[in-house]
Amino acid sequence: MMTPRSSKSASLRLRSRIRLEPDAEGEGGMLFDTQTAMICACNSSAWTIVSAMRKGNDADRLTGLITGAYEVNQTTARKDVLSLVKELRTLDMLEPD
Amino acid sequence: MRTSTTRVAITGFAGLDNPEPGLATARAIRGHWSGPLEIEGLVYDPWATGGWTPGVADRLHLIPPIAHGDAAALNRIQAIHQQHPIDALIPCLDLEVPLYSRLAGRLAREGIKTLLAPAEDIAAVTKVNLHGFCYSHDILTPHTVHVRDLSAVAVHADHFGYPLWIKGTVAGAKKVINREQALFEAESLAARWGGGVLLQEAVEGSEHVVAMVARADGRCLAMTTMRKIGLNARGKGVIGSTIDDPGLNRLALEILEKLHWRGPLELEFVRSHASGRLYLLEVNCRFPSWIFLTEFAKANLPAALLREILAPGARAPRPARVGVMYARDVQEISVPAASITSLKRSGSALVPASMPIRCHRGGIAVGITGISAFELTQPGLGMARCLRAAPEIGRIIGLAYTPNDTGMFRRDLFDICCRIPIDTTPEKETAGDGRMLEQLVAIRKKHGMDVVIPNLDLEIDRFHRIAAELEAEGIRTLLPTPAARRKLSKIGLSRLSGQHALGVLEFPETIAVRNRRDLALAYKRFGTPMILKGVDARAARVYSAEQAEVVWSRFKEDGETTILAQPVVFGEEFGVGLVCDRAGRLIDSIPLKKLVMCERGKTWSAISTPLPMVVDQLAELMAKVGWQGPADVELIRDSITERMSLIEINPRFPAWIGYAEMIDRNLPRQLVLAALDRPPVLSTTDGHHHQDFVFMRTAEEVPASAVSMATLINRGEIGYGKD
Repeated sequence: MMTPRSSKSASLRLRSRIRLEPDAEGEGGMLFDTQTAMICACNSSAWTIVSAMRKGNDADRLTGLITGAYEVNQTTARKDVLSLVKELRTLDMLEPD
Repeated sequence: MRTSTTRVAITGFAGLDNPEPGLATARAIRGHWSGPLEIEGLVYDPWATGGWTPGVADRLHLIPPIAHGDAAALNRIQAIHQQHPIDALIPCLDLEVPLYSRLAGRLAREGIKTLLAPAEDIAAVTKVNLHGFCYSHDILTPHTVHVRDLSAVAVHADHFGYPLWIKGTVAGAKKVINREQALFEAESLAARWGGGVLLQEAVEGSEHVVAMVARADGRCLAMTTMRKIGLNARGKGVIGSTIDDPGLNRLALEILEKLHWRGPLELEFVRSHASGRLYLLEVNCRFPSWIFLTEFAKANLPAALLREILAPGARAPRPARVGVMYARDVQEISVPAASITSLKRSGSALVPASMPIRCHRGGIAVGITGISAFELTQPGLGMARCLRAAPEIGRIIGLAYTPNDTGMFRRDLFDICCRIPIDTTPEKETAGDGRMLEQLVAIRKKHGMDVVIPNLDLEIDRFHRIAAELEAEGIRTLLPTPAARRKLSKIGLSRLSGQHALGVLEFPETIAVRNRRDLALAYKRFGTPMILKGVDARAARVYSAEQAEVVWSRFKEDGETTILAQPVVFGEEFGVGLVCDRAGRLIDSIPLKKLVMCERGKTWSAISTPLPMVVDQLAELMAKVGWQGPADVELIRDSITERMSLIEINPRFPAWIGYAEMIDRNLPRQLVLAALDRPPVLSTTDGHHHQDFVFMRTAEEVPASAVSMATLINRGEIGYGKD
């Protein structure tokens, strides 16, 4: 029997149709869905996460990227990652598991 | 590159805030064509404001109304052709495409080429017939019923359930949520377009539109797909982006095959949120009004059409770049009155060249709110234009509430745009004031801001409450006090009128409608048409007791606590923009006559006119109440008594204030100087000069970008690198 994989262990990869466009100062940016014109604005930490999702990454590694780059504990970082993943799933911007 | 001049005639330059596609089509061809090009703009009256846009059409020509028939249209085109030869004709209005399609053979014999679908194929997919076409070709479309007899609207509407769309047979659509609204909108749409109305199931979803050009053999020459990202309250796509949706592209090509089309085409779809399926909403036999987006996206469809008309088998343009966006903003221009007179008298006129804004770079930095044309055109856009021309002003900071504020994309007007917080809930008033103050002070610290001018009615109280704290931080403003505003509010004016304190001005009899009984009394007293108004904003004309009931209920639902009823005053409408100093003395004013107003009663064309008695009376009134800062005064001259009725006084500049720069009566400059307690500047022109130029406004697409929108959200500001 198949069991659904959680975001924690699954490879999280942006759909190929999602374009990443950094903002003028390069610390944040936006995701643009070229098929639906859906826009998702990202602050600098979200930008770090989505940039790492371009080629696929799991939630643990993404959490590590955040704790490495920002002064934030692991619990908070994981919560932020999972929250962003949930939002990207709602926007249909992630490849299915 | 062509060496001989290409000469194309284009229609569809009117429409005001719901623009016809002719201007965008002409701009696209003008923007892309390599080689000499002449554009003849064909208009039904001189008030097709888009036609006067500098640098687009070379000449404008009056053409007879469509109702005058094929022969009248042909005769006029032939007459224009003799004076100014035409190689190609591109009609841009739904109702005229079948006419020119019927005339295509005769026009071709004259040397005027077209590429239009046969009239019978167009007829098969009009709004009235589309449901049948879709049924017979197995195309998904929302369930639609054509109701010719308006007495049957209620039955059908109830049967559909709510919400549902009420559509005119040619154009116009309103979403309604109950039977009363359905009847109200059906009456108004049927009166405008005739032939009853269409009732259509409301499919909730995102709106996607395809613009295409079909070759003479029906094959697709070019197509661009767009998704509406920002829809205003009337459902118009004010912001949109090109997309690449393979499923939509495939469906559009399948439909094209079934249409046997040639020439320009627009297919409108809604993708259901519930099912993800695409429903065909409309087929239009012309380009959409957003077609200039295809020039931004390097896939210029109007230019491709013109090439195909002139030399069939032309090369297809490249596919549109994906993710390219437009925002629909406005352009304001001044047109010599003599040009308009010439068009009226001789039927043709040259379109004058543009008068660029004279940009200065002084030392004062000014922040301006109300910088959007997303819903209505807000005064901040015209104000920025005026301040660009003021020698004392340097940096102009646009203060935007949302990424949809279209002024955000106007780098010609603003040096930087900063986001300010929205909070209009009365219970959070103090917190909202604090956030606004904090944000404005932060903007001053980062970019410098000496003066801030709020331009929206709903902000005036807030800015007045924080004015002293702003001043302590080095930011000045000049606004009417709440007491002065109360005295000159609609209720206050009604009182002053009762005390005979308005001098030469009258004020319409007013009844405060608190309940249905008051509404019935007002209706009995005033008859129809009657006008219902909120205390601060919004107004609607009603023509029956039923309509009065619907409007009154809608106002109540929207939170209006006091609703006022007045009889409609019939006559020419006037406006006065003015500015007073801190002592309530009138510094300067611009009286004008309104020439063209959009459906929502906003001024899209006007001309300066002397009203000395009115201005003197207003100066007295302003001094009496101690009015400080700007005001927008609306008046109607009763067509029977010739007396001037004061309709309302708003505590900010009118949206047409950009005209002030065009006629050298720069009221925003005076306001900024007064806010800084500097002396006013004297006007260098006489009154006659003002009357030589007519103010006109057109809707116009400007390039937008998702990155800018994201930057405003993330960073709270976007700079245009002018420092």
